[in-house]
Amino acid sequence: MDIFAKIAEKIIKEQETIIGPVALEQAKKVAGLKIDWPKHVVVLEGDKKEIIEKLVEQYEYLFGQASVEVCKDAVRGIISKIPQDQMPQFLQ
Amino acid sequence: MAQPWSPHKVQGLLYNLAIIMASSLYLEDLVHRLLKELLSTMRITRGAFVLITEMGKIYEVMHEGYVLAPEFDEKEIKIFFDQKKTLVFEKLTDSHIKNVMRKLDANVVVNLHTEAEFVGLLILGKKQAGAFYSPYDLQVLDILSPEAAVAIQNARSFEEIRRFNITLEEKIAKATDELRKANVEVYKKNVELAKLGKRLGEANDKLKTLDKLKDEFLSLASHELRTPMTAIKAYLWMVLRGQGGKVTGKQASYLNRAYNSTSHLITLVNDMLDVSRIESGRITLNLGEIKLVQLIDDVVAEITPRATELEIEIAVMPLPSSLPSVMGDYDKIKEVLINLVGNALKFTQHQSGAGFTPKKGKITISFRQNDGMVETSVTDTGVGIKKEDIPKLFQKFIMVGGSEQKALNTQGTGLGLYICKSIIELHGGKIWVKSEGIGKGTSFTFSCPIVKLPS
Repeated sequence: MDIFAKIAEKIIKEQETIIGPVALEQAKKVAGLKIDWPKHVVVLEGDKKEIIEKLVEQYEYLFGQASVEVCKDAVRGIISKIPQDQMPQFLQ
Repeated sequence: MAQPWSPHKVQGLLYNLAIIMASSLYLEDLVHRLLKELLSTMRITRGAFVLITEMGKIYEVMHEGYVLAPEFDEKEIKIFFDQKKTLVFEKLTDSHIKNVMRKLDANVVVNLHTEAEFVGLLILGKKQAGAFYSPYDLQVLDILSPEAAVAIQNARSFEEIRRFNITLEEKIAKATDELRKANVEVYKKNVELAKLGKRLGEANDKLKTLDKLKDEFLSLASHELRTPMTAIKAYLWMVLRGQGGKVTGKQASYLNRAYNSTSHLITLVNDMLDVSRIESGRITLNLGEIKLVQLIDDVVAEITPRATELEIEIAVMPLPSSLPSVMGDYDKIKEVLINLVGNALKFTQHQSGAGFTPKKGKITISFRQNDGMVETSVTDTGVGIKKEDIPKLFQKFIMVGGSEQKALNTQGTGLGLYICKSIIELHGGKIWVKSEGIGKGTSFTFSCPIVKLPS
């Protein structure tokens, strides 16, 4: 699976444990992010780094900095697999 | 030198005023532009629009040409409200109105009316170079006044809507901000709860593992204990019966105590094995049709020797002929009934002096059909139970009551009623107890589902 799709999936999953179905509703509002959640299939169409940043911003707009920290925690285990020049802003 | 009025000039002024009224939506802009156009074209020194609310209060004063902002007394200017025609100072005869106009330094007062309401006043000062207001001037003002009233009213409405929109936008922005702040706080709480939930989940998993290990240990230990305990009991019995040689009175007394303690220990081990099976879900029910007549016969036969010994009457109420069979595990239901009758026997004794002397009591076993179930009741005339103890009765290792009850139950394990409850609930039934209090007897009832015959 594409590393950015994996990041998006992990972020949505982690947010889901905190805010329930709202996590998915908000993720679906992000342009370029196609989600088939029952199957946990996430596809990113376009600038993947930017899509991930927008996903994080979507949560941040509603829930503040705490939600960014949750996103960081969610991807902590796979952060090393992201190329340095492709690292999303919130992880830098 | 002022240019004299000409029809062309009048038309030009009216045209300009019309353009201003058609192009200005903002009240302040509209009023000031109208005033400026009027003052400059008609060569008037100063003028003011006094806008009045529906309640007759001054809403706003907008002026041009005044050195200091003019002040109008609401009570004084009320005198102009009912004037239908434009008031020209030089032509007035009413001295009161003239006095007010003089005080306001006003040469002309024009009422601004729409068809529906009074909008305000246009108050104009002297003309430049001491000129008088000409008929053309007054004609222009008469033409202007209704048009200006409508334009001002529209601008006021627009202004009110604009102000309302601004207020609304501010309120929405404030509410959105508050909502976002609340969201953030709720989110933070949710994060804490999620972390707590995760920790609890992990702790729960550990507990489940430990519980399973405990059950396994308990089951194994109980099983391993039961075999040697049974052997010890058998050998003690043989010695007591004199099969190992003659036993003295003192030896018999000691051996009896050892024998009773061993029996108690075996009962405890058996009960713990039952609890372990129930709690680990390893208990299996051998379900079948239970004929209550047979069940009662078996239980009474088993319990009668002890009841006779204690001089307690066991009465079985006649079974209603229509009473159906119940569905259940015969041995398990029998175990429940024996347990309840056994308890009734224990607690229908009377303590006296150093030991227990039988008191002539009675235990009644009865049945009734109710809502698809058969309810079996064991009612005694024994020591009874305090109301506050009733909720604790079916808990594990709980023995309720005062010293009398506890003395009567030295051989109890505190597991019997818990096992009864578990067995009955496994059958889909219920068990409950009633007692009017100490010394007033007790009644235990359990329900079992009726056998459903195939239709």
